[in-house]
Amino acid sequence: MTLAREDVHVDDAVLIERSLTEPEVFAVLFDRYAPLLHRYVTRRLGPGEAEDVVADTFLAAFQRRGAYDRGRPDARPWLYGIASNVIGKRRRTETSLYRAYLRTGVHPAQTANTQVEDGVNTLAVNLPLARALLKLKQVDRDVLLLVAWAELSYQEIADALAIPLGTVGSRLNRARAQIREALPPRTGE
Amino acid sequence: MTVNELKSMWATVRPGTEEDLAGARRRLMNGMRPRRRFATAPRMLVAAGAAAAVVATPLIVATGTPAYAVTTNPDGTITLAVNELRDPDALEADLRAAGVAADVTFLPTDTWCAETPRFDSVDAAYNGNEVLTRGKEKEWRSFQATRILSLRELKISPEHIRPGETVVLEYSETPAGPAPWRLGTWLAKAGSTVKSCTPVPRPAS
Repeated sequence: MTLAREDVHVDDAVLIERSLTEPEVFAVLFDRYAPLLHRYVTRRLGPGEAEDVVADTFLAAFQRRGAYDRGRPDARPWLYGIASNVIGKRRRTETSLYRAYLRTGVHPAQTANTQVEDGVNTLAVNLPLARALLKLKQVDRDVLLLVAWAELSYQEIADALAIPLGTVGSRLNRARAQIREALPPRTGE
Repeated sequence: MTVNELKSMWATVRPGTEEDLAGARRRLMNGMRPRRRFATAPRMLVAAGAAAAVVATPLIVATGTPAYAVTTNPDGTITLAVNELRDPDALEADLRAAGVAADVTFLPTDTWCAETPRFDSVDAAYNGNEVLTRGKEKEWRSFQATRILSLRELKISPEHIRPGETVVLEYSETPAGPAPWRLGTWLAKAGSTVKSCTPVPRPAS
């Protein structure tokens, strides 16, 4: 999909501000970020609920747009923060997904049209990862997956979850330590 | 290291497609129905065009606002505010009076120019028709010379335009989209002729 120049160059803060008087402009933000947000949610909850979560996230964002900090040209942290709350309400779906993966070795979004991770090596890493993710506290999992799957910086995560930067670091350290314990030892290290 | 392994986990899950997201987009659009309806410039044009057709009089758009405004700012930059896609020649003349050589094209709905490329660009911002990827805004002079401030406002910075170069502006109506138009802004090399534009249907993206 190509983007029009105005889509590329108007920063998110300007779009959000414009959307206060021209609400339909908010749809540009949706077109800009919904595909990757959908991917993030699909990885965490599976494909069944991703569309609902994306819709809930953007509707909540739309309703709160008046309070958006216009000093932040990139709205991704804001959107992922809202999405984290929406995902948090569906934590049972998330844990069920990890359990199902532990049983089957297949993520439900990877059954069609994509390469299924059926390699022995991949499973040898992913199964322990799924087991560890299942055991993490929700708040730690949020931070870890915002780093790994949403590719946000620590500062962006602090903004997203409205927590101090130090808390991002400590949650991440805790999560990484648990994950590391769960992984099989590497050879040659 | 842990994060790298996690990054690879389920990495083949693809981004949501238009089809995946159609329902969510619809819900958002329904949920953000404005309390009052805003007439964007193209809508006003269409409405005025329809009225003109009925009474068979020349098209007169009585919006109460000028089609565009060219303002020279104290810092030497020029702000162009476009409210309606009307009279590109007059706009070019006004920009020229403000010291900017420009080629302005207003394109009907869902069209683009048949001529590709229309000119030699000073940088890779222009590849014949559409847009490129995000992230080069700071590197390309096309984008430094023409910064989009909002959906209707564009700032032109002559300091980034070298002698003989032409600012090329292509506005294309998109009445069905969230923005009133798509806008392409580029810089043509000195000595490069900017071919006139023949609108042809834009392929579905």
